[in-house]
Amino acid sequence: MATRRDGSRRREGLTAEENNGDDWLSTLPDEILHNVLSFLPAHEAVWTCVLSRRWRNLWRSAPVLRIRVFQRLRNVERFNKFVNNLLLLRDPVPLDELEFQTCTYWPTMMPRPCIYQVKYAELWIRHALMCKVRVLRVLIQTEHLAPLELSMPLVSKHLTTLQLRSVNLDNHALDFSNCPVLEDLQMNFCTISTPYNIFSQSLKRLCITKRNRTETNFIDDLSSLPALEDLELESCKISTDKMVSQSLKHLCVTKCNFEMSTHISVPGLISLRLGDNYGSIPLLESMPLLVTASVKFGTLSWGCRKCRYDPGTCVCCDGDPDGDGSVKCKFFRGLSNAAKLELVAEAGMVEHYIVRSLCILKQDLTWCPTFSKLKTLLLDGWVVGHNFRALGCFLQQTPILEKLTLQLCKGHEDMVEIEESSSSMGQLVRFENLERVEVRCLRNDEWVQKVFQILNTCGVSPDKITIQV
Amino acid sequence: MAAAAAEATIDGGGKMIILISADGKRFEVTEAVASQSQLISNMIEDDCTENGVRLPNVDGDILTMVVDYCNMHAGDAAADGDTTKASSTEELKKFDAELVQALENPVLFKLILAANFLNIKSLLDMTCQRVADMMSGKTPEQMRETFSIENDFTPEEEAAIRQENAWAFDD
Repeated sequence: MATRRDGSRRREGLTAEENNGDDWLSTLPDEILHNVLSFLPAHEAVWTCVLSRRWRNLWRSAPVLRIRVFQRLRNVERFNKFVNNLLLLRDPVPLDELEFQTCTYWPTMMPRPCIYQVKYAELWIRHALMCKVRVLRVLIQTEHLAPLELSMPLVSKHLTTLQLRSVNLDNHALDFSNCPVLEDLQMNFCTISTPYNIFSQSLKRLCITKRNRTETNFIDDLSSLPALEDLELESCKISTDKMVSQSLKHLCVTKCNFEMSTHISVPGLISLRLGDNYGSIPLLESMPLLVTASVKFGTLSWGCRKCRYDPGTCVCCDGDPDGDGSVKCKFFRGLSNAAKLELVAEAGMVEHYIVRSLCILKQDLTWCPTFSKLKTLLLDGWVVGHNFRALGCFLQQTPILEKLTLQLCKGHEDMVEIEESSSSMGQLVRFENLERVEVRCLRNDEWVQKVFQILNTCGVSPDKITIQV
Repeated sequence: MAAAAAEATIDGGGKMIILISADGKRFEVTEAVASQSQLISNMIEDDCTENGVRLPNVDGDILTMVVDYCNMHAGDAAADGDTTKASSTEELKKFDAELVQALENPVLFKLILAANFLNIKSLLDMTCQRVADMMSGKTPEQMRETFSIENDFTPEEEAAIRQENAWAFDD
């Protein structure tokens, strides 16, 4: 039964001598020992019943159960028996938190083991809800996609946090209206059987991460989540033309596939992070409360499809000649209220199209929005390297900028235009409030020196510039 | 590091209060720092911190650690969701990790009791987690040895309990 029989290689901890032979642990009140047990995997918590009389029944009333698959019960039937006993034999006291995994190990080559694996999972969930569980984490371990199917709405007056991994939910299960205090929902590798929205009046934080990008997305409409403040999407497919929320404050979208130029309309947003997404570049509507924004374009972003295939002909990006640019620069317009902005893009064959769709490179920059609150700016990759004049034009729209960081780590060999554009830079840009410029680069070579010189001619004194190699 | 965190809160934390340990050591902290203790927070609400807060069951050396911890963690709650605090979150993690690693009996035991008495949930969780880490991965025999727990069962009783809970031991 020992996981470590050789006493010589015990984990660090107190030896009997250091303890002076005093059993201080057992003198702590039940409440604290319950707290200690809460951090142990459930089987180890149960094992404490043989320590001494003091410990015999402590595990039964611990408010947190973390059920993990462990070596000696790496067998589906034994594991299921363990969990059933555990839930049945603990005292009928409320559960604060239940986390359970399921066992994937199957000793023989029996067909379709995953049915056995999740045989009782729904029962355990119902049991936890009956025990007034506040935090429930259902972590199905599987190589197959979502073997556990939830097809009934959860009903609980106590549930505040729900984490689901590899669970399939149908439209009934996605309706959380019967969980009036549910605030946190995390779904990893989950699927839904029909395109359907999540319903909850109380949900504040929603995090959806999944591996399978071809699955239908969950968030066609955020209006069914009127209290939502935090939305995090990772590796999802986004195939909606509008994402609208009045309540959202923080939005983080990474590694997602924008199937179309989604209009993101979230007027209350405070922080925005877009990183390594691919497909179309979303269009950002006005966000007057925005404070921080971080945008990283991956090599697979292509911006506007039209521009990609037929540069120069797109009405949206190139505009009608008489237009004021209001539609041209939607993306930057949305960011124009940020006080802290990071723009990063990887070099690659698509950069030309991104640049076009972002309208950085246009000769006519009169419609570029003014970043009237921007104090901290980080520019990376080609944003700096490819065209310094465009950068200058961009910086001209940042009147109160205090800290500028230029990262020239990758691809700054491509800064072919730097010399020819340096002369016009001086006329264009006056960095009046700029207190600190940081240039981060792989090596301090001639390009870095040129950047340095140009900044000098623009009135940034050398003592404000630091170069980090 | 700790000093910087303390200064930052002095700027915005307002009123100072005095904590007095069992051995008479005095600690001046801001209300914002002190009110991470639910006990003191309640006292502040009830306006009974005027003449200092006497903590008769917390020693000076333990209270020093508690105050350091609270100074580091002041502003946690206020800065919730503020992405500009990202770097100091790293610092906090490092500070906590170092503190926990250094915890050994009898300091660990006293710190648990102090965190429990002062009702500082995050510190109590951290110290309880440390105890759990010391138990985890061990057999019951090894747990007993680590914490000098005396086995007061007769062999027959112990065998019966194992039998009763065979579903967990699976011998």
